[in-house]
Amino acid sequence: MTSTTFPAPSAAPPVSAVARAVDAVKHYGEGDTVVKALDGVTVEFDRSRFTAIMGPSGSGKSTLMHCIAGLDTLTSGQAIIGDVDLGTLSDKALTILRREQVGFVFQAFNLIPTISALENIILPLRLGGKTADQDWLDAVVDTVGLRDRLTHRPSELSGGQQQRVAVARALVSRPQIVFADEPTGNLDSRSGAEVLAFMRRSVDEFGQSIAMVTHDPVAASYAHRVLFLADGKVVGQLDDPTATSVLDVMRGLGG
Amino acid sequence: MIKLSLQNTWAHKRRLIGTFMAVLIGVGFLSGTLILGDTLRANFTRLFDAGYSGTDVLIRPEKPKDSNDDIAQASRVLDAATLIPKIEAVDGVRAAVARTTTYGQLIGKDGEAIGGNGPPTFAASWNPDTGISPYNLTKGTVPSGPDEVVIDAESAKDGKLKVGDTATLLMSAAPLQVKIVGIAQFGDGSSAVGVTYAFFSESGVAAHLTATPGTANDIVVAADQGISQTELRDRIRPLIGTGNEALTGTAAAAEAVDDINAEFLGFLTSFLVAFAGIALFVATFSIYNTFSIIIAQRSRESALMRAIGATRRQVMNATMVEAIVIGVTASVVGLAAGLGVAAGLKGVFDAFGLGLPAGGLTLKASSAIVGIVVGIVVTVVAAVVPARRGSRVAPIEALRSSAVEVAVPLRRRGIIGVIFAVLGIATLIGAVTAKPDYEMQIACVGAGLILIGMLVLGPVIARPVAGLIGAPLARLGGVTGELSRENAVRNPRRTASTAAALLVGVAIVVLFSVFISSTKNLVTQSVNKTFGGDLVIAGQGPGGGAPLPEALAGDAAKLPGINSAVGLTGGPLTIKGDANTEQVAAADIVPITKLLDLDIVDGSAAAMNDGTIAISEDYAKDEKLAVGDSLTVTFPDKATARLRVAMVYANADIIGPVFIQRAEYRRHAQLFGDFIVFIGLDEGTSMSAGRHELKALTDPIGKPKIQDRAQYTESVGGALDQLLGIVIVMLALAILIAVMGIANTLSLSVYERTRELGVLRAVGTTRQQVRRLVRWESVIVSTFGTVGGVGLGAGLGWALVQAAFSDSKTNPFALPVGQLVMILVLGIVVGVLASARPAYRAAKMEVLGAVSAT
Repeated sequence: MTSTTFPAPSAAPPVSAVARAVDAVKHYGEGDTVVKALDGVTVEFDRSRFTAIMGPSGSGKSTLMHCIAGLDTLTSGQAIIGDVDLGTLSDKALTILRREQVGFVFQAFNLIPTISALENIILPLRLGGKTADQDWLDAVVDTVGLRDRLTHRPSELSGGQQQRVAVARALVSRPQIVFADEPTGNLDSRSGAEVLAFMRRSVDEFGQSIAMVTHDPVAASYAHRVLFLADGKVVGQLDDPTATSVLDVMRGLGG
Repeated sequence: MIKLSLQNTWAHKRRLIGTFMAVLIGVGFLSGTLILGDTLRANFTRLFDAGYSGTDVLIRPEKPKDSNDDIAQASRVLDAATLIPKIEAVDGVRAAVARTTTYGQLIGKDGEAIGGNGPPTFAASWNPDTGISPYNLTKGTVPSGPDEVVIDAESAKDGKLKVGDTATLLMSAAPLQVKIVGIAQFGDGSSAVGVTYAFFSESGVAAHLTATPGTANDIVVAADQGISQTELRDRIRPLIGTGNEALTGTAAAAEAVDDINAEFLGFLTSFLVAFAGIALFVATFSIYNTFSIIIAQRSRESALMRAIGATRRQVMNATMVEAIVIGVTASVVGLAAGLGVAAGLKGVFDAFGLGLPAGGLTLKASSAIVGIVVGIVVTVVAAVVPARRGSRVAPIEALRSSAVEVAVPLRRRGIIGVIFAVLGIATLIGAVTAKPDYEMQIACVGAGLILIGMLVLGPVIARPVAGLIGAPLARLGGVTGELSRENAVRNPRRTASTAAALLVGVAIVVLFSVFISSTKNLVTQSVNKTFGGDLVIAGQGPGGGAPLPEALAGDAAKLPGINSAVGLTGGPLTIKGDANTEQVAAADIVPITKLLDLDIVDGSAAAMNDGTIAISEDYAKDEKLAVGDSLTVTFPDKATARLRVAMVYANADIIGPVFIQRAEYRRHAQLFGDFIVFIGLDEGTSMSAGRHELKALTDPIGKPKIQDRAQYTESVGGALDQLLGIVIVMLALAILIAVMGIANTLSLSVYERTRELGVLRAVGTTRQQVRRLVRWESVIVSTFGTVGGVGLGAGLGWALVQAAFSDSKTNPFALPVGQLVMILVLGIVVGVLASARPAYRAAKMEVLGAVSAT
């Protein structure tokens, strides 16, 4: 499982959590109309592991991811990446953290339409004034299988190719953790499978840590572990899931 | 459907603010200009009605139909001594008074001449009949001795003069010491717009104002009670002899209003309306852009409307209703703003001492209607193309997941644009090289075609040009710079039409700069070439200011260290008996040719005796005249003479086309003093010594300027600089609208790219980098417009200079490099300013909201 061809993104001890939420509470609105999107969630995302987060609509799974990723702030509790409490960071520090420590894959509209696939991939590095490590870049590009499409603009790529570019971009700065929000939600099943396989490979081969929100049991089956949320709380988890076992759990939860 | 449109308008009100402001500013300026015109016209009418309130019939020397030249008219006289008794005998005449009015300017306590910045300054006869004169004595007594005067209250105030003072009155022949015995006020005490008067008694008029005893400029008749002006005029008319005319007081007042309209108000209004027009033209780009973008952004919504059964026309009408709502509201608010603009402009003119009559603002219904209608039409016309395009959306678009920006092929556009541009350039070059008749007009048509070509080509060249401009940014600014450049070229149509507004504004500014600096160049070149003396004493000529006493040149020549001093004067001269009155220059010709190089090509100065005339080479060519030929001329005193051409000169820059001996002209015209006195110093006399000597002469006569060659040249060109300044201030409005257009387009683009900005922020773009991203895009667009405008303006300026000065021996084209560089720098600054709000809003976006925006 750790047949690492390349050094792992971080030199921290292998068992520690790469990201955590502690008593995470997120309320939207006020008074009578308050919505408790997260109601005291404590979870850990293991280093070099692929974790899926599942739950019905409104369960808080996306909110949890956004808060841990530094895109949104908690009402109370802590969101921690590595050993940095995100609540203590300024907007600028958060931005730099996102640039250097976190990778993102969104459901759609991941790419900047005016620049080529390659430029999209190295965008986070260049924003920080850094250049890409060519070996690492080659490895990522080859893994995604996009070498012949690098000069194309996003509008000239299929949806699956676009998502693979997005994954490559998330990996290229060797972040501590990649967050993916329904990365295959807009794809047909074959393209989705390609993207998921590639994400899994990056965990297995490069030791990347990934957290992915999904509602698709097949997508979740690519993960090492699945967390189940409902009504803003963690209600279960499943190691080494299969599509069938995930479905079983979901049925049990009344999803 | 209409309700839906209105809701749409309201929902998009923030996005429509730019359009609203563009229309508002344009309409505000347009209606402000019209209101100012109405106001001034009403105020002048009131003023002249007051001035002519005591005049029932006016008898004067016939005024040529096409002439409103007051100087020319003032030099015409009638035989009052004979006419007055005849008129007084007419039944129904209560009183008939001869009036003489000539140049006269008072020197104030501080030694400066009073008034003279436009409105005339007069020495005139005091009219004892209080029923006729609009001036009423308020202090002191009426004048009786030849050197006693009554002055108007405003002059008294400005010059700090009071009853009992002795003051200098500048007159055309020589300054006169006068005793102020009284002060008079115009009409009801309101201002007489800077016209100054020194009124003389009958003996004073005879001694100082009339060349021939018994003559006067006109006769004013007051009627008995119960007789109408027309009736009285008809009774008097048979008595006045040929060469004179009689008109009613009402007609005279109306004519005065028409004159001021023709020579000042009409020009002022069209001048300002032209700039309002430019502003509105620029505004159409902003409106067009806004609607294009809004419609593109809701193409899916339009497709949905089509899918559920709306016709194309309904989809289009929905947009047009929005345009009309914007047009109507912005125009109405613009009209209100126009009242403020009119008041502001009037304040500015007053501050410059232009001497405009007092009175509140006058808003005529016609001006209000014109302002509002123009505003609505401009908005609707600018919106109709995007609205039509929007209505062509296929219903299937509603089902597509994302709006794809279709790159419409630009080939056809490119071909059409090139055709226009080539036609325009050919026309322009043809006009410049072949020099046909109406070459200026033809050149303007060419310029118009080129402008159309540029506007059509804009989107075709936007990509490469913006890419080029953005190249250094991409290199210096790293990835942010690259993204800015890509954003600027991603939608070439949008970039082009956003930049086009600025391009048009800048091109016109540059065109004026080039034209004016070339004119200035020509003027200074010719002055330098012509003037061979050392100093000049500058009167300000017949257009305004104080002419120099005729005696000045003679007095100056007698001073130690002064070699020669020659005055130049002139006045109207009708040549060949037609109505074609030329402005003739008059001077002592032999001495002046020693100071001015006229480049005499035939005949000689020495041959210029009585009964001769000198003409310029161009005039000789146009009229097919040569030395020895004779010309029939009519002098202001109506004497006709045949003058022989005795000299032809090539350099007409200072003198003009017709030139005559001073003594010859003086016999037939009342001179108004000299425009300028040219001075040559003795060898060995220093400039400062010369100045010092002359100063003793000029100090008592209102301190006219003593200028050396450089100062003289500069003052001749200075008026042009002032004109350029005014033009640029007026065009600032168009530039402002263009800048708001850039800001608006950027805001809409930022809104459109919300999700993209969200992704950028999510992957680690700092707020500062986002701001920079938007700012640089703005700078690229504004630089595109500015560079294009400078290029176009300079090119057209060159061609128009060639066309306008095709007669000139040298090519006066001068590129005002400093100004152009300044304009380029300003173009970049303007881009930064335009990006302020969109950049702020882009940076302020919450990442999460932006990423998940729909």
